[in-house]
Amino acid sequence: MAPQPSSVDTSTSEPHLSTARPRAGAGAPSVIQGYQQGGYQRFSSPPIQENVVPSIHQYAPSTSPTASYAVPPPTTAGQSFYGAHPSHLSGSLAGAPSQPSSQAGGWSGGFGGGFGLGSQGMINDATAQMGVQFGRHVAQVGGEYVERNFNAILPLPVVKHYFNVSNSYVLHKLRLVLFPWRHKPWSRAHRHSSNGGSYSGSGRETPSGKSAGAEGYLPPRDDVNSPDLYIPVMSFVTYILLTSMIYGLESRFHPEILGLTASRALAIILVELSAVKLGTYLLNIQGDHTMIDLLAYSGYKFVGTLITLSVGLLNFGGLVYWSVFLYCFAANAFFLLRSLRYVILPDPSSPSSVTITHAQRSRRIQFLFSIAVAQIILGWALIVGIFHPPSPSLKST
Amino acid sequence: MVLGQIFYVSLLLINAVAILNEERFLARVGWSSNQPPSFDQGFGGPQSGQDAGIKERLINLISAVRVLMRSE
Repeated sequence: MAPQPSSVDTSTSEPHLSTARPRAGAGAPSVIQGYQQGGYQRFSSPPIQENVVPSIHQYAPSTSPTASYAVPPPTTAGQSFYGAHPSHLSGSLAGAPSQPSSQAGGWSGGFGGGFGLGSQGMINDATAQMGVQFGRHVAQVGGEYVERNFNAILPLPVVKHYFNVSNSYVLHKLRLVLFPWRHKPWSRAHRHSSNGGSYSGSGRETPSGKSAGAEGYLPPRDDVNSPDLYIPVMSFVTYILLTSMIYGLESRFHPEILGLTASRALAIILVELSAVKLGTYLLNIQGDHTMIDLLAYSGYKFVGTLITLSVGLLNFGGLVYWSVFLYCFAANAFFLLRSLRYVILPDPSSPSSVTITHAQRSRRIQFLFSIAVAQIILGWALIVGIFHPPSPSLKST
Repeated sequence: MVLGQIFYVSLLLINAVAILNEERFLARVGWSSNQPPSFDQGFGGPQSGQDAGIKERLINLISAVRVLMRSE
């Protein structure tokens, strides 16, 4: 802040004078010291004065009150003595532009500007250095710990295996989810059986292949029948966004809707997942499937939901909307019927298959069929209540 | 939140399984886990072994939940 001329000082500091007077009794020496330093250094660079002024403030009351009284009169006019120093202080200390009183201004400027940046800043640098180092160490150790335990819960290479997709895979899989009727081979390709050697050569396939070596399945990039997590995750996010967009188009959007939709969809997925898991436990099904497989298969229903919702957005009427819904989830049910078949009824050629009796087989087929039928109910739960009743969902049904 | 409701429902269901009394209820229904297997087969009787398999596993599940969730 540039110091003002002294004539302006006297005039502009008159308001300060009234507020400064009552407090000036106890703190007068320090104020004068501050003024003295301010008057002396008001044209110097800010860092020097910030270092000097606090120290003067500290020593001022004890060392030289007389000198401080002796110096000012030659420099300034007598009647503007008290009135001038607030603006001088505010100009020289440069800490706070608006200082109501000279006392508070001097001390607050000294503490705020000088101590904070100068001497105490040096001490803070050393401690802060230690603190930063300690914090970095803690973060490093904690990160390693989290990574180690996180890998135990959710093995990252295995998850990466499910995201190993390509464009053609995604297109094929979407077509497969929506038109599963004419697809012929539904079994997943094993790595060791056909192309284990050829794919282990390329660098991109090697880590996923090693991680899924126990499974022995090809990654989704090379096998259309393999479940992936890319399509479920993307369609899940898109489902939330599309739902919020529909709410927004009907001007019913509220930020809570994002969380509510996500929570609702996650709850539906969790219910289905736990039901399937309980069924596989009760039926003593020991296929070579993992939890992530089931998660991926239950996540494919968002594709049909998205198609249905976008058709509903086009406002074709309730009949078209519900027929598209029925078609999508019938297709999804058929897709799951075919895809979960290898989970529930293991291939006799599969190495981990157990021989099952006829009654067991029929019971498992019933279970499979009930999963497929439950898709329609869960899909209905996903799209119900999204469209407002006067809009296409309930208009003409 | 719906996830919270799911949490409540699962918590209450697990609690309902955990408070089933072994002597007073499960043994009377025939679902006790420390029954000799002959009793279950006699109870299951002429049915095939697969229904008994499901029931076995259900009983196992209940006893596992009771062991895990009870502090005594």
